[in-house]
Amino acid sequence: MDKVAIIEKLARMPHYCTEQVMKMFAQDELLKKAFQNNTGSKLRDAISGGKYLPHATRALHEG
Amino acid sequence: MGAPSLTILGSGVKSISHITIETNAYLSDSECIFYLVNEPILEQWVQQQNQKAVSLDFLYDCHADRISNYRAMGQHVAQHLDNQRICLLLYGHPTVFCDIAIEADKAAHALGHSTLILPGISAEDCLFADLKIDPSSCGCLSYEATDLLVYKRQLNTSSHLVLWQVGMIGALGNFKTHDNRRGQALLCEYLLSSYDADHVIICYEASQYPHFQPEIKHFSLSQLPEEQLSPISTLYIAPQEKIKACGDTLNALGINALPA
Repeated sequence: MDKVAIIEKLARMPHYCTEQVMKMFAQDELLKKAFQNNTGSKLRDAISGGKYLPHATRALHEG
Repeated sequence: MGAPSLTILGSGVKSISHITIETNAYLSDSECIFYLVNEPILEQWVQQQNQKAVSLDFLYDCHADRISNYRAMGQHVAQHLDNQRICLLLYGHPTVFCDIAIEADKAAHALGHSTLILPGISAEDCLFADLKIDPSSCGCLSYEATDLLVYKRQLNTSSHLVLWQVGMIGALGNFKTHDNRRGQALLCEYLLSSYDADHVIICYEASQYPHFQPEIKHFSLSQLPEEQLSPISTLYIAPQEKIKACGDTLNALGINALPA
């Protein structure tokens, strides 16, 4: 399943029909669950297998 | 004017959705993309845009403190310019709460290269939209949480307050194994010097996927030490009081009455 294509498709949809999205997620239980519960963090876990990318953040500066 | 040697771009917060047409154009036109993004699908998307897309993740752990790692990333990008059109893609807004863009810009200038920085959608932009807040309504203070505590920055309870990086207070190095409890207790104590204990505050995390909701949790300030905060949590604290306009200044400006 091409997850990039799915997210890209979602990004281009101002409105969606749940059935249509569920069809895209049909092959993956974790993605389906994340979408049903609308939990972005679960979706990220499902996509990355829980391996988060490091974050660019601000470091503490002097003064 | 020729194309800049280094264009620094922001990918926004929401995967793929927040990439602007302008950002996309620079990415497609570049000879090499260095990137540091927040989400694996976006990383795959970047790799599809350009055959030469290089993650800077490997430079995260080369020094014990993050600031040295960010300097190393900036210098790494600048050293690869060599008359190529290079893009540096960073998630969010490249110069908002992210040191790498400024470091790369400085390093590129020092080597005589031209640079351009384009804006992206930051977590704060998402917060204003999701919480329906206009920062101009009574002013807005925006602090990094550790910076607030260490420098005892001034609070103003009549303005909006946004606190960044509340889930990694005091973490100067790698924050994957950081215990935030002490920092949260200190932050709570500092805020209690200005705000009431029962003042409701919001923990916010912007949505990273289109059609997914942001995480928004309300709790009272006194509960802050026990709350679970993540490295991407931002705290929003609404104004606690309203202040009156200064009559003398209104007169001096010729304003008779303010709209209600």
